[in-house]
Amino acid sequence: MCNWLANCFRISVLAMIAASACAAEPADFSKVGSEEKIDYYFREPQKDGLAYRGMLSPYNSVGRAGNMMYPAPNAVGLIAAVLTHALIADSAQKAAQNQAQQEADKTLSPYQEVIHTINYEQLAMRALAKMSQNVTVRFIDKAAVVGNKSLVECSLAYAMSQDQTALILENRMTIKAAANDVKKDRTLSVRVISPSLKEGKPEELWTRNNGERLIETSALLLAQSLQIGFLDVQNIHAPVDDAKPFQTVRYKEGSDERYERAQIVSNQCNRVLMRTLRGSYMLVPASPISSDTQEEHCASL
Amino acid sequence: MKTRFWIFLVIAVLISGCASNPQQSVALSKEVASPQAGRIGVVMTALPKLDTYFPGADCLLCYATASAMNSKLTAHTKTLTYEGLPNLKEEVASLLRNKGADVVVINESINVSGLKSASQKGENVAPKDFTSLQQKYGVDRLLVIDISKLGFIRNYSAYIPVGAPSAQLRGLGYMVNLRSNKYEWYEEVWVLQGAEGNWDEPPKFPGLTNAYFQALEMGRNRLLKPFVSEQTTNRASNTPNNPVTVSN
Repeated sequence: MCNWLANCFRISVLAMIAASACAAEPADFSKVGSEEKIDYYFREPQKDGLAYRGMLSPYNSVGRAGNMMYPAPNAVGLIAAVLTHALIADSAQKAAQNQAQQEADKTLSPYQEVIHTINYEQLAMRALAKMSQNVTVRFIDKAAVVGNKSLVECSLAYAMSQDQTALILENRMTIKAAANDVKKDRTLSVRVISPSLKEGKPEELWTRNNGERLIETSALLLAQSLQIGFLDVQNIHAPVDDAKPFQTVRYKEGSDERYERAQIVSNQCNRVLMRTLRGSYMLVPASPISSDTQEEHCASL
Repeated sequence: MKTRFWIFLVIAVLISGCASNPQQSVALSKEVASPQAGRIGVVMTALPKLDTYFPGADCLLCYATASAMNSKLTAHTKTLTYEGLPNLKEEVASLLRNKGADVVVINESINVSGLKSASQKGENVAPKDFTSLQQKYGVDRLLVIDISKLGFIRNYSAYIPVGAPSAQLRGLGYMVNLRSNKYEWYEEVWVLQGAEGNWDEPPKFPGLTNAYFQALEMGRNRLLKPFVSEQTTNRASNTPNNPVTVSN
């Protein structure tokens, strides 16, 4: 009996050793030598990595003014009544916001089948392939160790314009500078809006060929937002001259015209890059859209 | 029984006396913006001071509380500018000229409340008597842009805010025939625009500041739109006088 137990114990210990040897260890990039020039390691954040949401209307409700009679037998009663009223008003506002978001999310229902197939790594790899050669970025696993290397984490929130002809990316980037780098860690937000689809039914175009256009546009917007983020960190765009005047910039979000108070960083090929009052960046289609000839010229750049 | 009837009658008369029909929108017709329309004067009322408004905070203490709670926003509001709003009359004049109209821009501001009341009443008749301005400005029609409220509005229910503040532009645009004193175009504009995301960002309130300039653009667009597009109908439209949730 004892021998049998001893054998069982030995077998289980050997099995545990074998299993631990088979388990994938997180990759360690902290010891990668200088012979391989990587400007940034790029990975998905631990939470809120990727989401597709409906676009909330920019014309939000302001609530209705009204009167309120407080039952107030004394001062304490009055304070209690006011606080209760505040709690009820606050929860009513939150409920209204949640309902508005749920309504907005319904616009994405024709695309849910494609959206379920999209994953972060797929978008990241496609995006990196589209980026310019000036900056070298390597996508790494969430659990990878980078030590003191430059690291960027992007929280990606995609939305569809209300007319479903344009895709919008809100990329919240956290860029951690390498230990030996004089540049500081930086968190910034970049919004990129695709040009609107001009022909056909949007639903058909986005979902055709297993959603290739939706996936490809998502990746392109990510590549453009990364590029802007890296340029900002390398001080090519930032700091934008604070003396540069803010102006109301008109731009397109699908077929709708929108406005933003911002400093224009560049305005080329129907694409306006601007820095907003909050210090975030927006790359948007200019309004009004110019001739197709110019667009063709720009597409070739 | 007889006494009750008389009390009821007096109350009914008083209530009906208080009621007034709000002026409905009047669409701009092709004829009044044409070379045959005579000379059109374009004028603006003085722009209002930028301010914060707290409707619903009706009792004295409620209003004091709302003012104190939003004092930083009120202070910031005073620092904002009118942007291109003072040039609106030149923009309208330019669009009218593109339609071939004979237009003159009147540089001084008009004080509409200072005009005497119109002697005649009726459908689309202006409550103030504009006819005397025909001689003064040497024009046949007067196009008035009257911006009455600019800044931020936050609705209250007594002491409690019932939502975030929104940028506000409220005003009127109208054209009066100076012979008949009738409106030949009338449009009420009320734009409310909230901040995207968080609004409470003192001292510069970037989200609300952005919303304010968005509201200016939307209001401007609404007032210019009839002169850009071809709106040729003569009938008055029944646009409700609700705040805009503007569709661009």
